[in-house]
Amino acid sequence: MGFLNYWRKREPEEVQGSLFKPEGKTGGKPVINRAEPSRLSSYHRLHDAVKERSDSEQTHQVVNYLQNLELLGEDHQELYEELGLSVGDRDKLPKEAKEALMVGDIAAFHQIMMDDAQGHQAVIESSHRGFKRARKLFPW
Amino acid sequence: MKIHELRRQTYMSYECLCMNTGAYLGAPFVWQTSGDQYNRLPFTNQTFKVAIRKQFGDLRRKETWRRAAIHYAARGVAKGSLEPYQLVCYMALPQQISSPVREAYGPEVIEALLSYPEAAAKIRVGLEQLVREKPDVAQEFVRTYEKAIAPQAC
Repeated sequence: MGFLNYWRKREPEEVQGSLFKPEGKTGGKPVINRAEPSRLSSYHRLHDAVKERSDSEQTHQVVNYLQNLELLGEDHQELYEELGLSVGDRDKLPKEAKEALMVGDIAAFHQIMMDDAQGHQAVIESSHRGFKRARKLFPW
Repeated sequence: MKIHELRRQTYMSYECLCMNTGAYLGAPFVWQTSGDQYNRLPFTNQTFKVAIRKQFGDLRRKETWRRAAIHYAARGVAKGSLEPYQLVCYMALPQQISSPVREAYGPEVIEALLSYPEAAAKIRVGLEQLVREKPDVAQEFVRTYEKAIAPQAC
């Protein structure tokens, strides 16, 4: 079972525009979102899911911290210091580090969906599991 | 907000702050402990209780916890690892990202938050991110603050 099968079975609300103009320009066919993914688009997707499942900003912070910890390593605070950044300045990290963070976002998102985690602690546990899985891909 | 909830929220923010600054928390972090144990930590973590008592006074009074919750909510966000656009949303669009303390004591939290130079520096980057990456949220921002930012006719 590949992506084709997954894609055919998408939830109806993911089909953009079908709600408002079912017989519009596309003739009732679902609109395909062909946007190029970027670091922030995967970040948005993860954090929108986190927001739906927990009402505290602290959840977002813990998720980001664990992402740094797992994907950039135990010494990520030194990394930020050496580059002269604060922990929030992820957009100024080197490209390779940002790619690793992107992989983490995607892994954590799917793990949260798979576990259907709800609440502060459950969301953190699921995303941690996702980050740990993504961690194995990188040579550092 | 009830005093227990204030205490719990203060603890969550305090934990975030320790985590992001590498300070000593004196207890396991949320992912290192079970649910029941984690819920008891705001009452059992001595390091936390000493810090709050020193800064804000008697732990039995609600006012202590109200002030502590506001202080640590702002400090946690200012020194934390949120993306700049999330910080802007936290201040200006609470429907995007919020917390119970932000909802209950919004103006005080924002005032405290703006006293941190880190937070002020992120606002510009955050607005740029919103315009570039989240046009729908940027429009929501403009709609909400249209009256406040439009040039006044005199």
